Amino acid sequence: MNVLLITPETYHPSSKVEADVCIIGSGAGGSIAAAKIVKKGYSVVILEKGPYVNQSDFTQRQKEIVPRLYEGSGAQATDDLSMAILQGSVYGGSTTVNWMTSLATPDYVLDQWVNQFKLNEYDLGSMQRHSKEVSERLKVHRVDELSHNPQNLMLLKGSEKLGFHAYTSYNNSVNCIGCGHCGLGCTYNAKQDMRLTYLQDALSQGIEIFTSTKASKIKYKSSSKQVIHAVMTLENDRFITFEVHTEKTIVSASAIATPLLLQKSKLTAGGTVGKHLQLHPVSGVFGIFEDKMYPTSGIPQSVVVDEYLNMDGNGYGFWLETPDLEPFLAGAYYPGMGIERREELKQLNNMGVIITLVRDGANGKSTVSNGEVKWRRGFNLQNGSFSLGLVPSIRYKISKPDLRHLLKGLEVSVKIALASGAKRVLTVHNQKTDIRNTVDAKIVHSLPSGPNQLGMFSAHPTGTSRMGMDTKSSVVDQTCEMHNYPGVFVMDGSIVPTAPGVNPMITILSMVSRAIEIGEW
Amino acid sequence: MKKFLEDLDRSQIKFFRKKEIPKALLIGETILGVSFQELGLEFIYELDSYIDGLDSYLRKDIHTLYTFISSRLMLIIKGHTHRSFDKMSKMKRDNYLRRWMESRISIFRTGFVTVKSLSSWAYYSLEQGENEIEYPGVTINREHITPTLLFGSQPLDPKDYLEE
Repeated sequence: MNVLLITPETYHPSSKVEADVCIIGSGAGGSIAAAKIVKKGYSVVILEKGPYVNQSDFTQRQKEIVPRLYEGSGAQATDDLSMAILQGSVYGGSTTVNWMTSLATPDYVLDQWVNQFKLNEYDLGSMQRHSKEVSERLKVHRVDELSHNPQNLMLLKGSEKLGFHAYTSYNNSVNCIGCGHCGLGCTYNAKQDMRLTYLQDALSQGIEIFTSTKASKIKYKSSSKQVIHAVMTLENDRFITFEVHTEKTIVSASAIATPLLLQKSKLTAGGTVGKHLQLHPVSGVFGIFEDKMYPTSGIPQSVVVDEYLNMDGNGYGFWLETPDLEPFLAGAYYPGMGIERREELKQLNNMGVIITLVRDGANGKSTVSNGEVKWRRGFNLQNGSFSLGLVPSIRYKISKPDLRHLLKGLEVSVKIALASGAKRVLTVHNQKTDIRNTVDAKIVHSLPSGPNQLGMFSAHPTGTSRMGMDTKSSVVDQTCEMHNYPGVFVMDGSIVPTAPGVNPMITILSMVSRAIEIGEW
Repeated sequence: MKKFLEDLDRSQIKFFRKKEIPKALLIGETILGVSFQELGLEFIYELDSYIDGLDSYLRKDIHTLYTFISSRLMLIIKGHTHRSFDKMSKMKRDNYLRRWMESRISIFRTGFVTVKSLSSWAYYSLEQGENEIEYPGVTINREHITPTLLFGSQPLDPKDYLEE
């Protein structure tokens, strides 16, 4: 039998692999690219840094899953550690561990891309067509309203009471039983992630996928010849290296890993690679209720409150959802310390959590970003560390307008929780809050909210190799090909020009689908 | 503490240096509000195993942090005490770490957030921590009433719809 899925257990050492196209990363972008390109008759190889996993690996135990399936064992963060960045590093990428929310890119975001970045191929009509196609493949549907867990019902009812616009969301599941462990991979194969959709499509057409295999460098020889240095990790920290000789390279390693690989390979397009990082910063509130809420069970994010999505009139603002609250997230973000905190956490099942996600970039000049991913060495003032060798560095400073939106989101969340019957609500500020009435909700604006004064995280990094027509301020053209390096493409969250303002899986899939349609494939 | 650590199986420790173990336990005790005896050796094994899986440059930084946080100089400056970290009273240790948490200098808050996240990870990954927060836990091999989540107006206790 011809083995198409190559893991350390099935690999027969060979120093050279040849393919028409080599794709680095098997997340949303890499998977759909593979499925579409192989159909056109190209031979395709995927290199996936993370391990191969299937249903039986999803044990629902965070201590087994998080270190194995998340980038940096779940500890990836900005340099000042003020924002953890959760990303899957596994077969299927972040789609294997995401919380399933499947929303199309808002029309005003697409208008911005057309008007500001001249991305005429990504207008509403084109993107709607591709969003429809990918949503059908992922079996995206509106969540059954009877399936809202108490936490989502709380968000829905509270919003309705206060007159905020809220709706039942869409996700990519089939027969989901609501076990509440989406972030640990789907034990029931209900989540229609890349493993079960586009990677299956690609494998059935005959591609090869090397898992536990990291692309360490791309050697750019010409527009039709690149050599990728690959390192496969074996058991007991042993590894083997080989080369992939290819005519075209697609980098789909994520908005953090892609710029790092391009920089290491000196494919830096005038220094733009790694800049313009957007994170959709997230913070939250814990509402404490008389009734049980079971925040660790049920379908996460089945309700979206989008009342303030366009808060500033320029398309920037925030939206509210509820998390898949695994204990490690609750433990890391629940405010305070000591015995009092321990006693309060014992009431976790009576807590309802609302998270605020900010569409970042509202600094008045949305082409300027506060974030950057790059290799650094020496003394790092952000965390006091020192390194002689190069280490990955993620710098991000939330802008004042974005922070205002985030704090407004917390204020609105407090009001919603109280309107739904919370006895008290706590924000995740270091300075502990205990808000019992809506008048006091405004206090969130006066609390210290700098780095590590307000708990924040992100699961939506985008923008570090963004698409655009201006070769100085962008990295790839409308076909996702690098401006300065023909033959090398970027197809992942890196290309998203401005933060999409919705959970980005469908945006990434639709953009890559469109890029392949208009590219010379 | 010394007696407590007599049962420590050193072969299970890959990251921590001998001197760091009591410090990690006392930091965990202070932040989590769980006495080190109650945290138990499992806490150290879990913490050690998690940190050992991180990138090498992060492991180096974490060694530095545990040294820094319990150094005499820091204890004098931020703890206002000449006592060593292990000999401070619980209250003084609590005040000391709160000063890190609430410091106006961001690097101290960064250090605090790191040890808080690591300690919380280790404790709430253990069965003891999960039981304490009544985490419903794994649903594998349990029989479900499908669909599980027809909560209606009153939420179901996961124990009611999941049978052993």
